[in-house]
Amino acid sequence: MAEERFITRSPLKNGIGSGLKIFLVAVLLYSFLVSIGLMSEAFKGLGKDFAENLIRTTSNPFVGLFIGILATSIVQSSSTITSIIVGMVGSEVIVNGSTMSLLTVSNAVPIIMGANIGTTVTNTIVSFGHFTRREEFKRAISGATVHDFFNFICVCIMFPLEMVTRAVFGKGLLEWLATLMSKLFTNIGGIKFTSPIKLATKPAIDIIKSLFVQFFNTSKNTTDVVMLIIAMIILFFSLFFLVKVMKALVIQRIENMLDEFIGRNALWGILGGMMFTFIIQSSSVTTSLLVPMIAAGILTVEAAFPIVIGANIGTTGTAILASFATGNRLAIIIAFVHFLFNLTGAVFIYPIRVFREIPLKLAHKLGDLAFRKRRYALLYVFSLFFIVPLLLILVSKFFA
Amino acid sequence: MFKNLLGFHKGKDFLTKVLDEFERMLEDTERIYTLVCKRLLDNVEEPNLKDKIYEIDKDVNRLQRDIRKRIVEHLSLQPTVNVTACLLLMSVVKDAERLGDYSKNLYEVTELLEKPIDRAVFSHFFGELDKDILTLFEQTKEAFVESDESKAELTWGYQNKIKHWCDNTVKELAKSNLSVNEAVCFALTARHFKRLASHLTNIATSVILPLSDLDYFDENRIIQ
Repeated sequence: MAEERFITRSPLKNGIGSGLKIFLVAVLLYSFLVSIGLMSEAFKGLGKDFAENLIRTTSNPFVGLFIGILATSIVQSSSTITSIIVGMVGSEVIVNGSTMSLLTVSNAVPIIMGANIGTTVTNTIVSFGHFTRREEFKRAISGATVHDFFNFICVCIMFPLEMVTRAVFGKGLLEWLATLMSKLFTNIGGIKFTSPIKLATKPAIDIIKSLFVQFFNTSKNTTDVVMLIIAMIILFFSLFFLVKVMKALVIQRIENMLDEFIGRNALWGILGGMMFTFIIQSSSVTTSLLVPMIAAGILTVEAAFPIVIGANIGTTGTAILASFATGNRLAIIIAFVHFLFNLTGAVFIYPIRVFREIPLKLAHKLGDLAFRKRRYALLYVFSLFFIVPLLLILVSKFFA
Repeated sequence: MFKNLLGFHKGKDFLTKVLDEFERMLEDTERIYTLVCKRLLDNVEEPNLKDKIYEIDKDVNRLQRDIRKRIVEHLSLQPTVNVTACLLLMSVVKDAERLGDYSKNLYEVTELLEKPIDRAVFSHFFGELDKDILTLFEQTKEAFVESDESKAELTWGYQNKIKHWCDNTVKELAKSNLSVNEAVCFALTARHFKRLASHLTNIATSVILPLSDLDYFDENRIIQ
């Protein structure tokens, strides 16, 4: 048949069958969860000074926000950053005789919000692939930056709201809601919830930890630092390859269903974006895949917008998984803060036409600007994602 | 909605969808051609023929756009998979669309004619070229859908015959005593027949030609 003549597959598809890919996913997912647990253990070992320094640095919510933007822009993966934050929040250290989190939930909330802005840099960079064709670039940059502006608006609304409610009630709105949600997964009626993920990863963490202790038997601090570095490397690579394998595993099915999600209605778009991102564990992949279609003109920015919002919600699954790996209630709370923040955008901001039109208009305006002078697009990326956050962190540090 | 979500693991893949649509394009253009030939040569009056032909042609154009859209979607999602097939389809889809256009142009010839064509006069100039083109439509469809190389090579023989016949017909028409109206209509018919044969052969020979040589079957290995 003609189909057989046409079919040429990618190297990954040629080399690995579905069964092996599923096995790889299981291995990578396990590695990811082990890395979170390992990281949590390493953070605990870093002790009082590190904890106090970290708390001091992140106690300024603006600094936290910009750390989130900068760190995610550099790593280009909000899943990695939010998982690290979850690991930090889930690490309890003893300070002055009492147990406390390495990073408090309140201090972590702005970083999570910043990570949501930082993650949008990837698809904006992807849009630069159309730089040489002006009209195409205009569409691509509009399509990519609608995600930036939407997340930016969400932060503009939720960040002050969280700060005000925290100042008035002692706990921010998102933090309070996430705490309520977390009760479903923690001690209910006196029964202690034990995360099955933590149970599954504990033996591997214990083995790796004992290996480190044996190897670096001279200094505990060195052991913890090396363990932290190794945990972060495992985290980064397991997430990186997990995304790749999952994408290869489901992309064909997604393509077969694409017409169902594109251009039907917003709810379908949100569901499609959410489902795809939850499976592949990366909102950057989802939003980056949309850019060439928008650039080619077969998908409008308006039609892509709900998919982007769905991707925002879907990506929170990674942090939730990571929080279950720590089994710590505070880690679960911060993972739910991430989820609620993105859900709020979809439920309360997108349905309101006035709010919905703001990111669309801004994205189109930036597209028009980039059409006239393409260097403005470059300036936008460098300033919003790198220069401004870095400068503001330095200024805050200086005044502190 | 839920039913559709559950159908996540099902559904036709990209190539099946696109090839189905391409086959429909070929079927539609063949239908236009058959309807036009009936009117042009057999003088069969079908009600609302013009509307019908233009409607089918619109559908052909829609299918072309749809295939292109699917190709862009596919390459956005899987840039390394089926690249050759995508480029090939991008090329042949244009040929299929032209088939619709030339068949439609043949209909416009029927509107130019001041009196119905005399079949005997037509046969004198064209022989059975109208039937040969219909056969070429069938062969092209089979060659492409079944990826049949021998059928693809056969189409080149047909195309060659049609091309030379049409060129000779135009030369003969220039020397003929036909009325201006008849001579112009016959010359246009010859031109459209030749183009139809050419586009059909472009599609059929895509089965054997390397991507870089598409549309240049007459300068290629078939001759060798």
